[in-house]
Amino acid sequence: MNSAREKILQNLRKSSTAVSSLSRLPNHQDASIYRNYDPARQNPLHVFAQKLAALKGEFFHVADELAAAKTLQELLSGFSSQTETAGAAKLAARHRHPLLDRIFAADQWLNENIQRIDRQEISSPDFADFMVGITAVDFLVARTASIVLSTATAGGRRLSVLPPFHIAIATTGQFVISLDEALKNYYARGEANRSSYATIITGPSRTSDIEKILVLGAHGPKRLAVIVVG
Amino acid sequence: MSEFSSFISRSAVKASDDSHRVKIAKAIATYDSAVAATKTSQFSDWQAARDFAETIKNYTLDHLADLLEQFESAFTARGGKVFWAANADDAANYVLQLAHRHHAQKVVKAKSMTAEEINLNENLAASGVEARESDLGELIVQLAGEKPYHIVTPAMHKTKAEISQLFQEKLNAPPTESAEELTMIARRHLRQDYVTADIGITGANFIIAEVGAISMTENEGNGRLTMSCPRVHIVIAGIEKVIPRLVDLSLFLPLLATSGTGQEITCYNSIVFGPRRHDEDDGPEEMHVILLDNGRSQLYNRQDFRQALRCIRCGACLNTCPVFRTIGGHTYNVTYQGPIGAVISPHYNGLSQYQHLAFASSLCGACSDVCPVHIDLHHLILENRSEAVRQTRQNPFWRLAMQIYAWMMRSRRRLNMMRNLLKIAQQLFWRSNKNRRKRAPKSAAKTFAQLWSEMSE
Repeated sequence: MNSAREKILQNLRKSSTAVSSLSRLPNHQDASIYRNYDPARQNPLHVFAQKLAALKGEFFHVADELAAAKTLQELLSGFSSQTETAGAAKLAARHRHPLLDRIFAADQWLNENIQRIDRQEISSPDFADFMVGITAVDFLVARTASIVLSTATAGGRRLSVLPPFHIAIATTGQFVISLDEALKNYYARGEANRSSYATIITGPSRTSDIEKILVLGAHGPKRLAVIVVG
Repeated sequence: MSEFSSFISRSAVKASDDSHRVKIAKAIATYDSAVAATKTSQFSDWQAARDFAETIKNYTLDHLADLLEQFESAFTARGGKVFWAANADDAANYVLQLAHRHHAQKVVKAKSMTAEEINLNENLAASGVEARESDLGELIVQLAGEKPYHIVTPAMHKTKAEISQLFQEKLNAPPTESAEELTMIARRHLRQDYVTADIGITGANFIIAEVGAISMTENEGNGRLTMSCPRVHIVIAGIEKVIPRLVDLSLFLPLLATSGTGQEITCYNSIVFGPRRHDEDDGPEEMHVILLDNGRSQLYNRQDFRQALRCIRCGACLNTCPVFRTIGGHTYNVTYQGPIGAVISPHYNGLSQYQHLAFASSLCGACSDVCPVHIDLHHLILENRSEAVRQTRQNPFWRLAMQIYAWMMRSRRRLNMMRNLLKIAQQLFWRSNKNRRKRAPKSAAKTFAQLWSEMSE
């Protein structure tokens, strides 16, 4: 506790004049402010897929977990030949999560080739060698094609940002229409006290810092693929 | 040289620098078209969104002390540390203490204007700690030994060729004209820094009172890496950054992205609730949030100026400002440039030295029109101007001149006489200044008053 605390708070309580006459906060009525609300409600998957493509993310909708394993293998096989030639780099890592466990159980190749991070200490430099990070998600936000992750669903903070390719696997049941819904549910479920960190990801890493020219893969993943099961 | 006279000379140089104009015009044209497109594609009612944001921020300011305490208790309950800094020195010293305690050699930094406000890089360097800027724009200006040109786009004033030159000199990079290749040079350059730095430092776009968390907006991923890899995470945030509820992000994130860069929502929006939990695989062992006052609570107690604390630092007022577009960001020589800078800098940095910023405005009101939280910027600039004038009225010459002016204006005859005198003086003035860039304007044969009386006859 430092002395400036009392002084600052005292300063902020000095004047009793209020600028607003509100006694309580208004609710968020998303629909009245944003466009694309109704289409997203009618067909969240379609709106999400369209938006993600516009952001240069990759989208896959598969029927079941078996098909998800197949899609995953196809996405990784291109990388696997690269890693063999590169030598030092490791292919991919994933964490322990019911959905991922089921998908991996269905496929021997995935089980043999993908390292599972299971509450084991992997130092950051070692982590940087992984080519692909595979995670689950908390929510899919249809209107903006955002995915919401927390440390609990994404195996910590690094797995979804340090490798140059992030593959997020979700189910259709995780769709919400807009961000306010995702955040409301996140709060109501008490996730704030279960994970120290959450992030809302909308497309692969990008920058326009040089002459406003769009470049993908500034510091985070250059590629983002979202696989939706069901 | 005083801050004022150096401002004037810098302005003169930039205003007649054609290449500077071309660069800024191009960058802002790209921004303008993206913003216009996103406003209509994302919002069915932009004005309603602004009104809503203003309402929430006004409520927040009315309850600021309570909400800050709410943040503090929720955040510290999860093991986070909160430090209240009355001024820039206190904040910088706290960071230095932490660096010292953790024997830090190197810190990695994400973009933070509050860190600029407390001169953190210089302070760290003086203590032998190396600060690595990780945002691409910030890295460019750091390598060039400059300050950020713009609160959102720090390297707006640099071309690809200039950046390539810089990377060749400082990073031994091969020459290239491709923005993509330049970005990859920066990516490779910083890759190891995230995993070897002892401390990660970021700003915060929002302090969320209800859940005791901070939120940070970015596109590159350098911020996420900065708060994921090092053992210690330090956040420097102004006390006005508060929003009451987690769900309020659903309004402020799209609003900030639309006004800041013309995106619907930025690529990464992180919400940090505290340091690594015992059951988590990674994350910093310690997390500190520095709540920075540095003049804000004084501004808060100025009834007319309190609204300036609604600012979410989107940079829209800079981009639209005809003065900013002409003189550029560095000319202001303050952390916050453009109209919002002209409003708050004199209060943060000292009115006597920075009151001239209130005059670096045409008062056209374009800034107030674009502000996503409805800050009446041009009236606040006028307010600062009037304060500056009240101070300079102490000057006896100015006072005398104003008395003559008032006396003259009180009679039609005296006004006409003065006008004729001024006409002669004007011609003499132009004749004595042959090297001016402009030619002497011709005055009309008859005055408006003469024409008017002829017409009425």
